[in-house]
Amino acid sequence: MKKLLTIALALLCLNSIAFAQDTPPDTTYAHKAAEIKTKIWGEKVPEFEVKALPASMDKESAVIIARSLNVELTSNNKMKMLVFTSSTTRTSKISTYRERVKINDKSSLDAFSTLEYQKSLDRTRGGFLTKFVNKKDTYIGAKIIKPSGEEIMINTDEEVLTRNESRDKQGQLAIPGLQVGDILDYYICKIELVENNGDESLTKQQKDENEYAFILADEYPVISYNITFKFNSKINVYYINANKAPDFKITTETNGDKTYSVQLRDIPKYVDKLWSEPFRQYPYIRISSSYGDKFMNLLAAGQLFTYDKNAAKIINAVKSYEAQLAYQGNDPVPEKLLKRQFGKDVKDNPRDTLMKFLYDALKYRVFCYYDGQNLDVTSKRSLGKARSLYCIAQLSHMLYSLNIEHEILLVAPRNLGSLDNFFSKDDVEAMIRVKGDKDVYMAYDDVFTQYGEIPANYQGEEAFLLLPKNHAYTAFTETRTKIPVVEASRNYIKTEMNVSLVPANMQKVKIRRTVSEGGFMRHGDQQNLVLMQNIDETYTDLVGGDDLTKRLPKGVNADKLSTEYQDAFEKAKEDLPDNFKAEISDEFDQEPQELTDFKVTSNGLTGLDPVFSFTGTFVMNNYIKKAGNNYIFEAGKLISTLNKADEKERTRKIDIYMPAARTLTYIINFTIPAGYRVKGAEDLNHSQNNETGTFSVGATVKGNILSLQVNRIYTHNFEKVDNWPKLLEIMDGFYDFTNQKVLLEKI
Amino acid sequence: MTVKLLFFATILAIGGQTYAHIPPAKEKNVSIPESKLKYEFVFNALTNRVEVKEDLSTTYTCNTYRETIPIIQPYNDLELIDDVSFKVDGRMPRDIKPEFTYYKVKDIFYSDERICTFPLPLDKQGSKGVVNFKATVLDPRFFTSIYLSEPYLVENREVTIKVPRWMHVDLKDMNFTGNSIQKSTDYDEKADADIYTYTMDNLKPQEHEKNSPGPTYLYPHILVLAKSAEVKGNTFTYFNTLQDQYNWCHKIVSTTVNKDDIVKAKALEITKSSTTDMDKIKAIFYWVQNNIHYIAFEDGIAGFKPESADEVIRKNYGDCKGMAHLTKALLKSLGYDARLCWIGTDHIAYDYTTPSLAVDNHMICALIYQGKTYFLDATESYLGFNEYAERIEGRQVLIENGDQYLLTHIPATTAAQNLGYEKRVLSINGTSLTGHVEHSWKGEEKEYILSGLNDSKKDESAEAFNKYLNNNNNDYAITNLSTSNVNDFDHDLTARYDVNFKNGVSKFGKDYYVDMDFRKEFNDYVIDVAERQYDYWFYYKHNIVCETQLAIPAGYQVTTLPADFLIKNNNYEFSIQYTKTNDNVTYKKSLVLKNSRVSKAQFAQWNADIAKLNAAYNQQLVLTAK
Repeated sequence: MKKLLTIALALLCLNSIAFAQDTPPDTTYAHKAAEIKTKIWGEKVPEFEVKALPASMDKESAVIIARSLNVELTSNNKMKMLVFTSSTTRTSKISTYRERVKINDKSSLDAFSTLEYQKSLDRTRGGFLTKFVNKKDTYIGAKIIKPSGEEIMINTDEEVLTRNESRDKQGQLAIPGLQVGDILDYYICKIELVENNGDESLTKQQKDENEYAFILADEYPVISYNITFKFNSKINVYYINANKAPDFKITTETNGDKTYSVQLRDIPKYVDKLWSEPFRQYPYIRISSSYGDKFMNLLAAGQLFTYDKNAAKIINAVKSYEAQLAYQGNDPVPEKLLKRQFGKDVKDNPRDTLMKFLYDALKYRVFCYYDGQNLDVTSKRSLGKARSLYCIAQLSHMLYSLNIEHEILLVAPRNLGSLDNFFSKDDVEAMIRVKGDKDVYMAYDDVFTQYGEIPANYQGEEAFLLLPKNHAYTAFTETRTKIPVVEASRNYIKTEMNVSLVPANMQKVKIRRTVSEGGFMRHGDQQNLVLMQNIDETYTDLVGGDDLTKRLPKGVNADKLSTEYQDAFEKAKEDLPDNFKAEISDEFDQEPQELTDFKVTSNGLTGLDPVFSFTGTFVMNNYIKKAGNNYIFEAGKLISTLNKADEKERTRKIDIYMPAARTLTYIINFTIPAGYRVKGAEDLNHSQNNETGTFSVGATVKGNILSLQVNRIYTHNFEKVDNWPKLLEIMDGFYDFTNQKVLLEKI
Repeated sequence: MTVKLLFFATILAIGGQTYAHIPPAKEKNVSIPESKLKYEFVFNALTNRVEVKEDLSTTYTCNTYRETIPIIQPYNDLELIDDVSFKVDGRMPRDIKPEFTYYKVKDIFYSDERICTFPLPLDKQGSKGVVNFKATVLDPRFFTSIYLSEPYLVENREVTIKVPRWMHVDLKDMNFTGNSIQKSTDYDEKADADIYTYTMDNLKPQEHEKNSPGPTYLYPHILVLAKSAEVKGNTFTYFNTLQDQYNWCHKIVSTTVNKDDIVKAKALEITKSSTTDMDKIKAIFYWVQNNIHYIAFEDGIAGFKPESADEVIRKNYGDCKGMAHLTKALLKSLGYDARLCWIGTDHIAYDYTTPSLAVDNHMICALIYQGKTYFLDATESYLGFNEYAERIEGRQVLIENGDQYLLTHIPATTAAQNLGYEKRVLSINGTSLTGHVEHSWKGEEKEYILSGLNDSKKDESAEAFNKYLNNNNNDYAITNLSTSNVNDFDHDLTARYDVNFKNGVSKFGKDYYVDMDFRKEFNDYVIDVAERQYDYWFYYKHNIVCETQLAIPAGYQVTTLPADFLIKNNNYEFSIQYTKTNDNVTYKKSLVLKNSRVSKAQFAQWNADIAKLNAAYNQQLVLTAK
């Protein structure tokens, strides 16, 4: 006991010394603010001295003359007396963001006229020996440079506090005296001190704050941007410079501290382009860091990055996922359902049958078990996504238990960085492929993703392929593969419309519309039109699932909660009429009148009913124009009110990332009113085809029916920019059709 | 357009009551089965003032499924929360502590209005959450109204107001019609107080609808008008008369002291190129409009007190009070008779016949020049001199006048102020329409366009304007666009350009079919009578006139000239006229909203008229080869 006490006292002394050394000088906030102010304004950085810009830049709303981000991060390990002696990481972070911006109009004046900041936040936990410091202070400064060259220092004491608690202060400053034509030079300096039990104990927010992403395209043109990160030797740094972004210059000091710096020049404005993916098409830099001494590295094996920006980053992620595969426990629910469905001789069943069942059983487990907290079962719930890495690990285990060989694919979705620019585990999704005469893919994305469906943003992308050796998850073969692109015919919307004039008002049309959707094209409408109750019932039937009362968390009054869910299901039905109206309004760009008979005729949830379809009858204005005794039917407008690509859109320098290869078909049967004949129907016929797509219209008149079949096909989900003119041809052909009309001539 | 109002009225309109965020109309899982709100005027001998004690108890229940609702109770330096407690199903929820924080609201940069807020977890169907607040209003002037309805159905509520007979208060029932509210009065002999009791059941939930009147028009509430008190030898005068209210307001604004030399220097600088009085006055007004950035600060009593004019000049920003005060100071420094004015915008149902802090929410400047009064509201960034926004036109306005006040009205405007005029001279070229177009915009129509242009980034505004002019139809190709000076608010805004409208004409056989209307304003303004709860208010009185002159191509004749169309009533006038001469057909459309408000009772007629307007829009001119 005496010995233990001695050690404890020794540690206490060490701690005290450490505290004494680490405790910042006893400065008040104002003192520190003045110190920072003197330092920053005293630095003579040439980029921040610029006062005049070329006249050509006057046309911009604002110009970022210079911007800098300087981050200094220092982490150290220290021992702390808790219940047990424990290792604690103490991280000090100073980040200074400075920007010098020329204000050229009222829009940018509005944007830059106020600053909002978390002035101070103290989330320190515990007390005395068990205290974990967590403090953040923000210091701001600003000055205005008038066109005359006069510099006006802003008095930051004019700030107002929108939160003023002793440990939590939020500030706002309206910049006094700022006018169009001025240059605003301001900085935001944050000083943070955080103690925790290593990276694993960091909150998501803390981890996120340690990650930086710089897309090299900005709201305003940026002339100069200097980024500098300084890390002490114990910090592991990981970064990428993607899509030809400049690389960091790395310098190492004698004590091992490293500085990563990059000077960026003339960053262009970001231009929002149709069918583009910024992480694939713009240069960007991502950098993050983690504290990792040997002890911590042991704890977080496979999770921490070492600096090797060529391959290790992907390998590390793969290893990390392999570790997850090896250690993840099995979810008992799908196994229980499998046994219930197939009994003891489960392995005697056809492989396809078992695969389908397992896929749906796990999906049922993911989407149809309820947490008892969130009773919102409206369409908002359908926006939820499954955690694919977890689901695929589960499915893999279950497939192997049935001796079903399969491959695990780690794919970089196209809305994120490519596999070569992999940065963190959140950048990949997992999927399973079972080889056969026809490969079968199994992915968990949203609740409407079906067995065999490849999510659209995986298609055409590269994937890391993992094949566990001997089903043991202890060793894997690792190669790369490419995910196929689903052909346009399988991602479709087929719209059939029977259209007739309203007898009482010949300027209105009555439309009976039936829509069938397959593949990727289903998801958007399903989210709004398929009730969670129907999803729940469908899957419960499909996999022989349990009553709702058994799918609720333990420890709740299941009967009562189940009743609440049933009531919530009923309540969610109230939204359906509005959702149907909204779908029609989106499609036709006007509100439907007299909407009746609207219903979903097939939910399109499983392999048993893969097609989503719905129907409705409604009345619309504005498609019929009266012209003396005749009428004009604006047939093209019935299909779309799409605008024509303008000159700006016609100029394109980046490749085209479309959501999917897809087919849109419209079949319109228009009843020609008695006493009229159609003129101009033959002019509707159209056929256009190139390697990017097809647009065709077939028009026939039989008896009193004018029939139109319109096909619009986008062949690929990706086109090189060189094919943009060809794609425009297809789009223009379609646009021209939307302006076409026929004459209903009085006989 | 940014709504630029004094913040205090917003808070006062809500009163001292607890409220929650307003959920969408159909989300009425929660209701209020029971509520008791008690108010009592008391004399605080320690502070020697009359205060209002509030004891507010409201029970919330979820009828269908569990739900957590946010509870929000506003407070500030003059209305203190003394105590807050809450229980759900008889127990205090663990780990939930009320948070006392500043209240952030859109368009207000800073306000000292604060809220006490916490989530109330109604843990299961039928859960009952009881929330109690005890609060004190330190000045009866700030106790302006008691709102009776809530965002949820109020099944049963009792409101009692205990008024000792030494306190003189008027209680006005507002918007009670159509609601089940009973009122009774008792006398408490012991306390020598009248007790006013309001009992109500099944009050409809408050709904939020776009373009609806403000809450003072919609929701049942009691307007509390504190007049005076004589207690324990003290006499307190609140707003017994409008003069009292004026005295109170005027005293506050009088404490703002300007550095006159700075103001004068600025005024001289602004007007150095101006020669006539009117040039100088306009230069001052337009300078404030153009150079003072609107940022709303509402800070305690400063919510009623303007910042000094020299400070607004230094900062280049201010709220309505600061901008009004600066306008006044600049004009006065040049020797003009300029005054501050208090005004309630059309967001408020009351006027100064009921003296109360709930009556006004805005401050402007009045200029008395050569016997005429002009009102200058520089927060309207792009309205010209002597033009008035819908929100203040015709409203009662209180003008400072030394110890007395002047009470008058802002001039009422007509739709003529807001004329948007378009003239197109077109000819047929194949199936295209080509020609020249000229526009001019006045008043609020001009302000709408200029706001859009200035809110856009400089490098994007031309494109945005083009899209506005071509109605977002890229087949309507505009070239050679020129405009008048967009920084000159004193004159109409004009634009002219050439147009080539591809597919503007349909050709079948020998006939051309021409749609003479390109814009079809109001064609989709059908009001959903089944859903809409409240009157519909347009932002201003629209006045759209469009003329299209089409040259009849050589060898063609007009075979169908659509019928003229006219709808005329007290509220609006829609007309379409076709005129044919030997060479031309002229289409003239006029859409005038004489009244910007469409009442619920008028919805059916409005919809029927819009249907007729649509039918007229859908007529085509037919030209046939001779």
